Amino acid sequence: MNSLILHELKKLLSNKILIIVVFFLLFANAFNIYQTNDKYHDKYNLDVNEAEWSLYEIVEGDITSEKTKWLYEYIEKLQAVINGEQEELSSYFLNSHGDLSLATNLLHSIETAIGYGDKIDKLVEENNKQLEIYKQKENGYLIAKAELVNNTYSARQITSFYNVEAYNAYLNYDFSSFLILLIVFLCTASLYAGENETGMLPLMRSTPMGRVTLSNAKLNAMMMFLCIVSILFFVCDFVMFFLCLRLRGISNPVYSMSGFEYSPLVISIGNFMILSSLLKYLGFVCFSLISCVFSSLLKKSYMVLVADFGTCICFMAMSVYSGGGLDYLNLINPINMLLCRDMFSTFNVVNIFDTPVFRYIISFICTALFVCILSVFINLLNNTNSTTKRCRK
Amino acid sequence: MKLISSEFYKLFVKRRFAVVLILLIVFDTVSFCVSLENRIDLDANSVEVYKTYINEYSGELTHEKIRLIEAEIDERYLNESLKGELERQFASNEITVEEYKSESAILKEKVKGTDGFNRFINAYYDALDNGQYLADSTVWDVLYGNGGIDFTMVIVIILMIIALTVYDEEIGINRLKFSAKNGKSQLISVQISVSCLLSILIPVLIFAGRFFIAKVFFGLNGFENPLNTAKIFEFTQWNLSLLSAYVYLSIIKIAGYVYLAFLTMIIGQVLKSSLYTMFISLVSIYVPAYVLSTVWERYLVPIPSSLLTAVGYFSATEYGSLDVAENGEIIINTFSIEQLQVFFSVVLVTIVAMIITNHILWTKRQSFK
Repeated sequence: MNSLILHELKKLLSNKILIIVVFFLLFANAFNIYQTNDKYHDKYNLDVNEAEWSLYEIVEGDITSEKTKWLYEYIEKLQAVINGEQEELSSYFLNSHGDLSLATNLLHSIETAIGYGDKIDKLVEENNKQLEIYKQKENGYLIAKAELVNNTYSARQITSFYNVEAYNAYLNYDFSSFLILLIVFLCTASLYAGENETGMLPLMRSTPMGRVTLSNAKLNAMMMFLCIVSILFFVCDFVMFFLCLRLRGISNPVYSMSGFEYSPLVISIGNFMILSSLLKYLGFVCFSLISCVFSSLLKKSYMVLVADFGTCICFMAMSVYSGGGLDYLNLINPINMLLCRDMFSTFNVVNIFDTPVFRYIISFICTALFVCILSVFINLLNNTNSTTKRCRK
Repeated sequence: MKLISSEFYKLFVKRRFAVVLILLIVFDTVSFCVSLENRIDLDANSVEVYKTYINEYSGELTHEKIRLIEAEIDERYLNESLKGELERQFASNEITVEEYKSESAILKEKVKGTDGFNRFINAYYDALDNGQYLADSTVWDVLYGNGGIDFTMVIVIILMIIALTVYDEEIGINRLKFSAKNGKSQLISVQISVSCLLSILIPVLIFAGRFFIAKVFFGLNGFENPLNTAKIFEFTQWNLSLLSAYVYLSIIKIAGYVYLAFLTMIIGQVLKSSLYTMFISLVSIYVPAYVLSTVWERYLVPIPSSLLTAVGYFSATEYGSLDVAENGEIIINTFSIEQLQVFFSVVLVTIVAMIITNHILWTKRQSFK
């Protein structure tokens, strides 16, 4: 079995066109990140960016009273200079007005970070009031939900300040997912249909390990190849964003990013990036298995590609138009795994037998089950002996 | 002639491309109608009110028209405030039920279709900003599209080329064909001609179909209105009518599909695989379109995706067409006639070169020995 898997993997890795496509798309991805972020910097005057970074490097790190005091005093000095009450300072990061604007924005960001704990405490306080009402009404589900809110949001603080907005740009970047999907479709389209096209399928199925064993070997090899490609692209993304946008504060909690203030996760940004990469990989596996189903059913590999794109568009439409039965179908929608940041940005629970369960857990379990069902279905499809019967005729 | 008909038979009957074409027409018609319905998004009363006002006041805004429209607006607002006052009086029992019913029926008739009237007012204020030309551009905006690449058309063109040329190469039939009397000369020319013809006819069919549906079922009008009355071309500096702009855009897109068809043919000749041909063709369209989406100058790069988006040549209101200067002034990116002449000449030369390359690639094949 292992030698079969290695053989199938070797077939994929020795496919020159596939490898050229992977590296070409990797380069296109890197170029896209560079030129998008390059335009971002150009649009907002490089000098302003450099001044902002220099000022920011003074205050980044653990939030201390010395740093905030220094900022307050610097702002007061700048205001005095602008009002003519004081002589010009010996040096500026940009100029007096520019520095005032930058320092004020920075102070506002730090105060927001400091005030986060209080904001969340107020939320918990309001929630406790609601909890009392639910207890009086004896509504078990709402009581459990309110308690879950308390457990999730209690004792949250942001103790260090970094410019984590660059991570938002990284997490919202979907072009690499699109490219990996293209590679998935190319790789899986000919996995089974290719054997049919070349006429090897009846021969392979007549061998002892030519059905389920070979099918499993192909699936395993494909997943390993997908893992290699995904790692390449994820590393490329991280390196390019690190170089272009200076990612800092990877150990900050995920709720320190704007848009994630109410995230139910209590992990660092770095761990969240790993988690989202793993969930994206699950999404790619799901798409690849759907493509393998088409590959097992259709005779022409290019028609498998058309079916893959059609399915992808359907899933994308499903994820946009929610409501009614679509909400339940969306639990197995692999697009949700690729756009997993949306699942983690808010407190979103599903009622499972009067118990609130986070939607991302249900979505993960449903997608994983869907993957298992697809694998079994593919093996069943390839275990049929109808092809050998046609050959005998 | 026999060769041409046999190629059509092979494509439409044997390779079942007729089914694909019918599916494309059905899908395109349905999606176009749904887009129009969503864009119009008004109830029946509002549509009627909107059409009444637009038909009455469309065209160049003269002082008289402006005076009349302002009077309509004042009257409408007066009626709405009277209706509100009537309801207040009824709620506080200042009038009887009969009085309320009779007066409210009259006022309801006068203020019906409020959404439609508001849409007319928005069009009127846009006209005051854009140079005093009032027109209904809802249907035109959907007809022009949003600058995206039509995925279904791209897939159909690629499938057509694969079914016509690449598949024969893949299964090895070409070697047999090239050994025939007309196999290397006439057949190649016929296949190239049929590919070119179909990659022109299919988009023409689709674009004409959309125009027909918009005209007959959605009341498309104002053909001679200036281009800047369409929302998508609000900032254009081109002095074209709506109809002529649609014709030019269609021609540019058709050139894009022809370019795509011959590019796919060359890729197919090189790779000799339907799967890789389809994949590389799709990647060659969509990856540059995405990577260069923020670059205004992409419209001057002679690749199919530039032609397939097309609206940018007339400075559509899309990302990259408009920039904002430091003083807040809007800078409109636009191309000069000379730039476009050079560009389209390059595209034409490229397409001709592709046709010749295809011919050479095929004629250099070894016939079956």
